[in-house]
Amino acid sequence: MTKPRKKLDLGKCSVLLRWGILAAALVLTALGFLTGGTQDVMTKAINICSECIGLG
Amino acid sequence: MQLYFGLLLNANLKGFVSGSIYKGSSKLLCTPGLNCYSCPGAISACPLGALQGAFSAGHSTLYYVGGILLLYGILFGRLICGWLCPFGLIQELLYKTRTPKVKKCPVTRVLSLCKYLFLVVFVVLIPVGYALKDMPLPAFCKFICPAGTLEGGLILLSNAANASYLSMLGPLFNWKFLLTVSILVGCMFIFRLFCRFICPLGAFYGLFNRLSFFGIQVETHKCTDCGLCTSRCLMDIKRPGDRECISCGDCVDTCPTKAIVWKRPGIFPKTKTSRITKSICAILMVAIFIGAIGYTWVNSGTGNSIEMGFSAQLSVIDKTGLTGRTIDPTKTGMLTIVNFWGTWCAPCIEELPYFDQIASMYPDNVQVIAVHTDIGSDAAPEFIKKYYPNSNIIFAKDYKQNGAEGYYTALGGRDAYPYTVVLDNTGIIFAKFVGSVSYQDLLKIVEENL
Repeated sequence: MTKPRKKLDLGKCSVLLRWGILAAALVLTALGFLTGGTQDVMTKAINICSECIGLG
Repeated sequence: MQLYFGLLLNANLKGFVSGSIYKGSSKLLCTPGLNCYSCPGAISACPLGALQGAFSAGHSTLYYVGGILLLYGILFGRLICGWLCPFGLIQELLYKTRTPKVKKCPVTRVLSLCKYLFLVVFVVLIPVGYALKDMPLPAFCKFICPAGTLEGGLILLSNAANASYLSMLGPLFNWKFLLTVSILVGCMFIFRLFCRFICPLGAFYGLFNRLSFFGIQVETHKCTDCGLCTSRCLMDIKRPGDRECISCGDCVDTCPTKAIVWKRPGIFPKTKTSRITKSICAILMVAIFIGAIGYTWVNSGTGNSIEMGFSAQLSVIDKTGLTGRTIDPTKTGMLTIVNFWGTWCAPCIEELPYFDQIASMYPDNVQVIAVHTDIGSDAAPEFIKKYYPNSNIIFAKDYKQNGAEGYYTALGGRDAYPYTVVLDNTGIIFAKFVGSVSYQDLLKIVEENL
């Protein structure tokens, strides 16, 4: 006799995935912030690259 | 709500008056929605622009921007499109005009997949491809983004103080202007045309719609599949809460069996919320908005929040970093070309070979000084070492480039890069190039004035 296959609990999976992504997002943001990742964002945001906004 | 966030994210009213962009420290934060950081009112960074820039900036920036995008996505999904995006608001207002409307159909459903193409090609593949060649190219911003043209380009151009910007307009601007106008006109006939078919940010957030902490969802045991929600929705949804749903919430009240509900309903104010709670919320929102205006008004003056000291002269840098030498571009005693650039700026990098060529052609008659922006100048020595190790160009950095005492401002710069000035042997400016300069123009001006 074959054993009945255990059904995957999708609800539980999505909850795990949701919290996993949240944790990964927080870790990445913190890591980027602490290692100076904000500087390039700042550089781009406070200077205008004329071509980048389509001026030429 | 969208109007409020649109105003809050563009609270630098002083910028609209002066025609300058905000340079305070809040600009290191990315907003959730599409809001060009070159808009004079913008007080924070655009996540899409930051992401494209991050590919060429290094791991830290990629972690930071990627993390923030992931965070927004998993928390809100496309709720951001429906409630927080200023460009979404503009599109919805345009759709309110009395024009014939193009309704959704299987074709628009297929077209809604195009935004994934824009995401992959213009936001990831092209910027990554160019980043491998040390060229920071934000392809979506440069060739497509109507928010950049409208909020950045056109608002900047409309200010008389930026009259010098008019000189750089060319085919690229014509293309983007035409595209922006087409999209905006299209929005009068098609609901949220840009959000549905083009926006890569919406495409990215849409991937998280089913998983996100906030938004709407269908309680399947209550749903009778009557189809009322999908037929009334103006977006290309198959069911509420899918990748196309912007969680505007209109279907929550439409559903006859109340099967469509908000996730975590306690967060959202109910219809019968007490008057006191509503008043407190309203007062808080107004206070935050006024606070943001006041803060940006006071702090937008002399530019960078990162103080780096002031040098009366430009500090010369080479492949090893700061050399300890300084130079005054107005006192070289010969024809001097001063080019303001940055390793973060694609057109700046593209035109550097022209300056290099001029510098090597006229080593005794022309002084070429390439001045890097102060912030981000850490990357310059490595760049010089790799591409210009033996160049005749004198590389330098400008402290407090945006302050009145910096050379960039002193020589007429107004936020935009690249920027080039040509000075005669007495230090008087006789030519300016705002934006990119061609080799022919450069050569012509040198030959005419030697």
